[in-house]
Amino acid sequence: MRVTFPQMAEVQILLETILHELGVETVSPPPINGETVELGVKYAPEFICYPFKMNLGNYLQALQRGADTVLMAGGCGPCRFGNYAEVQQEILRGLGYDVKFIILEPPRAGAPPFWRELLAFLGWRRMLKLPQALGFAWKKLNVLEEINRKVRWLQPREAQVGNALALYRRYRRLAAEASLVKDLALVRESFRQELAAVPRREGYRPLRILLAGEIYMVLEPNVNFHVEETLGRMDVEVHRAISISNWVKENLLRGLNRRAVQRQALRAEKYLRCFVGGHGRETVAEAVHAGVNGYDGMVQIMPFTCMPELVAQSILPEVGRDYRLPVMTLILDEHSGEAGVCTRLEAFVDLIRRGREKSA
Amino acid sequence: MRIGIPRALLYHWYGKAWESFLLACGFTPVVSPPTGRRQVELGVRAAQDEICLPVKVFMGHVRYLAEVEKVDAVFVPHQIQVEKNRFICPKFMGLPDMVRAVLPRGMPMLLWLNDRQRHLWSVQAVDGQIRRKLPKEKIRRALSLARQVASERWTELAQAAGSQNQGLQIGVIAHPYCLYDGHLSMDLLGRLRAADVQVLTPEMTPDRWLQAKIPGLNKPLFWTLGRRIMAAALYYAEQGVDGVIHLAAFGCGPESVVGELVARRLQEHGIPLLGLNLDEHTGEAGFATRLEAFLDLVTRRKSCCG
Repeated sequence: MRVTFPQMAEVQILLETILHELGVETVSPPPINGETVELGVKYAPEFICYPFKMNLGNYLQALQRGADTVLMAGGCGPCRFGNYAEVQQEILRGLGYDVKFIILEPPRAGAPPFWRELLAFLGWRRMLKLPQALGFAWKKLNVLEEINRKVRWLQPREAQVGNALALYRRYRRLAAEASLVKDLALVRESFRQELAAVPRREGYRPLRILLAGEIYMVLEPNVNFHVEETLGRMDVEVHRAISISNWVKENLLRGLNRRAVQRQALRAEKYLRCFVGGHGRETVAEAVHAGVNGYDGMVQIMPFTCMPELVAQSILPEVGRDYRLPVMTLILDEHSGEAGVCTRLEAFVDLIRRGREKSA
Repeated sequence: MRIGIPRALLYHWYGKAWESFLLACGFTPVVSPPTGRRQVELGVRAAQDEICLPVKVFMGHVRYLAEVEKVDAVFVPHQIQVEKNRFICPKFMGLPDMVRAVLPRGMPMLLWLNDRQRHLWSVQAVDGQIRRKLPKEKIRRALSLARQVASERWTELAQAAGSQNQGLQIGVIAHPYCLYDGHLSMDLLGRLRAADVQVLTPEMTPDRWLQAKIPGLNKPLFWTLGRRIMAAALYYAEQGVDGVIHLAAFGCGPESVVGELVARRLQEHGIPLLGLNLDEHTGEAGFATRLEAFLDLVTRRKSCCG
């Protein structure tokens, strides 16, 4: 059994870590490139959202490289993501691939829940090793996210352009390759030391922009045109609350994080009274958070036709007015071009910067 | 008090019942006129560019009621779930908050909330502003009247439309707010009837088909309307219709998934499918030509292959 899975930011590193710990062979799809987009767009339904198309492209590329099983999550709505796996399975079978899908469904969806599916996939011996593998992957995720977070802080402040990104690439790779908890701690320690040693522009206060929106588009740099790096190059400090670890905390470990989930709901309540699927309510909550905490702006990213984010987008102007928070929405799909996105981001940043200089 | 009811979205299922409910409560319901260019234009200007056409049209009706009819309040159905564990669509969940963004400041909204706890014709579904003002008994009576009107409307929708002769039989799959809105659907039902075609609609699908498991899927669909469309398509296939027309709104999320699943199943059955996508730029001539060509094709196929 050679298992593949969709590409999404750190997810690939995590799944590889977990599955290798358990002794399962994996075939990772290559990073999302032109071919992925082409394949995905060709075989996916026309008006489906962009992540679906990218997933499909990932599978096709992995299948060409010898994968025969796809690991994917399910859901119970109302966002379309809950039906991704089933439709993708039909499309791949229709194309003549003999591919097995392992779909991890939440218990409420009306299908066999994820533990049954996992048990059938891994067997008891591996299942028993699963908690340990998950624990290690969780530690790795935390290191990876710390690296990302701190580099985003450093990038606008560095004295010489390029140091931060070089640091990021190197340590991300080191963290991904670490196979022992001990190594991971070493990586983290030496990252912190190197980060502190990078020369900085003293006293520079960069613009702070909050990134929010649909989780896949926000996190996967190859579909959002490396928006974090691009903004960093414009001397902007990028913050985002959306991350894989937060997703796990808010969805899989909901019981342990009731407070945080309630807080999100309360933040958004004045503007959006109920859950709307996906990250719609979170986006509105993030906007309120950005407004209250004096961020200089917010960028919402979503795929074309994303339902929950469209609801949020309709409401964001109101939030922006109340808190005098500039908000920009980037709607991306296969027709978006890098130059266009960069120009829009630049214009947005210039606008905010001008506003700040004026009021200062 | 004049309360405006937008003639859009699920008005086409429940609207008559809402009207009689408000009437029985002592309000004056004002229903916006059937969708026309005016409402579409108002809606397109008010709503976000990328949102689907039915929601834009809803916003258009809301603006029409507020600006032209000058009603005192707008009735906004906030229908999260109308049956257990199925959603309509995220946009229905955020509807009141999206409406607030297009309403003039200070214009009150009367909500009609259906979710997991608040069932379709329960007292809890009624807006608190009404519940606080009126005695509970009066609301109960109004609700039972509304329920009766709703079931009459349902029977009306479920009755076979068009000629009963042995001509073509075409199944139409679409959300009610696309199909029964004459302007949005370019009067598809009227056109089919004029062409002497026997039409099947999703509302005519027997209940047991709605409950049945969908072959090839390991869980039920979690959208009320998507599930109905899926079941209807399978029912049409079983009935041996000559062709199926899928009418979808541009940018409709669930439709992109359900449409794909339906198309694959119809292909297995060898039933021709015409997919028509609606948006505010759809031209009538193009629509009519495609429909005509499809009907010609299906007719020829029937006469050739028996």
